[in-house]
Amino acid sequence: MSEEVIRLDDVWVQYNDVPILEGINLSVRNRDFLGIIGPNGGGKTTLLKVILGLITPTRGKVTVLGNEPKKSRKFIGYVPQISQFDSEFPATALDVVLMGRLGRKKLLRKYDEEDKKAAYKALESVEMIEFKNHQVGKLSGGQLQRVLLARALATNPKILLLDEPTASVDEPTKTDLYKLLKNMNREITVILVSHDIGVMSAYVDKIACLNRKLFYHGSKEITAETIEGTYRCPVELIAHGVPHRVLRKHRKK
Amino acid sequence: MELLQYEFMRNALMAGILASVACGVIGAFVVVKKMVSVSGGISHAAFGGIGLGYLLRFDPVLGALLFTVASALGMGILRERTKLSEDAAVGILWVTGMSLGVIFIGLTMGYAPDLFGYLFGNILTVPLSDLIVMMILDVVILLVVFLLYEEFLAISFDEEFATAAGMPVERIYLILLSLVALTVVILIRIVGVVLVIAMLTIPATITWQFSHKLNQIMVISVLISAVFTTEGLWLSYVLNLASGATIVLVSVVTFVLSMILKKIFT
Repeated sequence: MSEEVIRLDDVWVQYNDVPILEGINLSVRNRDFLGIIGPNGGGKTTLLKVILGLITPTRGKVTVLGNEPKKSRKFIGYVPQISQFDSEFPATALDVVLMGRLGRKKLLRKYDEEDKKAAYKALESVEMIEFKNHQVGKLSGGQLQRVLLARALATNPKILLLDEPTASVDEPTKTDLYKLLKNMNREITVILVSHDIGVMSAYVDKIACLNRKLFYHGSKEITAETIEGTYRCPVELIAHGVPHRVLRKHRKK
Repeated sequence: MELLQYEFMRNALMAGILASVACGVIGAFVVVKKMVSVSGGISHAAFGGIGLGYLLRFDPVLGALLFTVASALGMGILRERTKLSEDAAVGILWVTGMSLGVIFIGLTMGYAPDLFGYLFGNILTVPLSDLIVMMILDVVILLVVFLLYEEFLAISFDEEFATAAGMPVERIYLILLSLVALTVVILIRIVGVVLVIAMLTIPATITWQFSHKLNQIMVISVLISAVFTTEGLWLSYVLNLASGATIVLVSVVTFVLSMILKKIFT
């Protein structure tokens, strides 16, 4: 087994006594490709922020690359949800990708050749180099998603964390994005959260279900019971357009 | 042109241009990072410092500088360290500054100071010493923005990513707020505590409609601010109106025209 890169032990997060995450235990190993699914409001974004050290848990212990999250987060490439961005923001795609270099750049120093090379390389790897001078707000959802992915890659991460990377993109673009991530997964650990099981299940190696509590199964065979446990109601499992069926057929009642 | 033979007119013109440099550059960040209400709080806090200056008989500009920088740092730290919403904190800061100013000035013995000038600006009475202070503050602002431009842009776009990428976001934000404080001090002479927000927001908002490059927004905002202050100054002289309010209204009219233009051409 490869080494453990992320470990959560009995992690609880509460806001004003309302539990968001309850007793999360999670272990992620190097070069895992983990998909976390769950309903909106189930704590998916919170879980990512706990791993990044942006939210301190009420209880429990988080270890990332053998250290506390705040010390290790510079090795994590974070791809937040794109819905939060101002579409009029005055920056180009290249400006945004270069922001990925700022954690490494000393304050008061300007971007150097190495930073620029890394940004170009990241844009090339997501096939967005020809859009480098486009204003970010004018890009489509899929294009903006790729730019944010490039920004995360520009940090030279050991782990990629993605929050709903396919929320506002069409089906073919979804597949492209997953292929891209699968490719990157040959070198780095990838964790993504989504409320959309669809295409994801064909690409990830492991799936966990999150709705305040984590139902972690390691393998990606999910049973109807797990899904129902996560969503708290019966859910129709649909595997549309996936290369091979990974979800069990519904049993006839 | 005959106006320029008067020293107070030359000083006023110079003050308008010096203020335009600061408000164009910092106004761009205020608008893009949506710091308008925080800036309003900081500018009204300045009134407390002005009052203290009168009471203790030191330069009110120095008092304003003290209060704006202190309130900028206080606001920034409150935002990062507590759960108090920035919105509410701004409101409290705003009224505290104004009330302190009123009380301090009320306690001051002797002559009634030129309150109206500090509240609504009086560009026609800018002494040479203030021009020098404005020039120094401009240089400080330009230097810091040049050095931290990339960081300011990054925290304006996505603070969370900047934090996750390992940037000292809190420190960078406090520096940016302090620059807002310095800009407020410069602008008080021109448009006064109450109208500072106009000069921080209107030029940059007009420019942002037509440009999507931050450095471009800054340069053009500086230029149009200079046009506004000069035009407003001239109009106020010719029509015998209050200079600060005239400058602001010139800006507002231009803003409305720019919106109509934008609608027609897009």
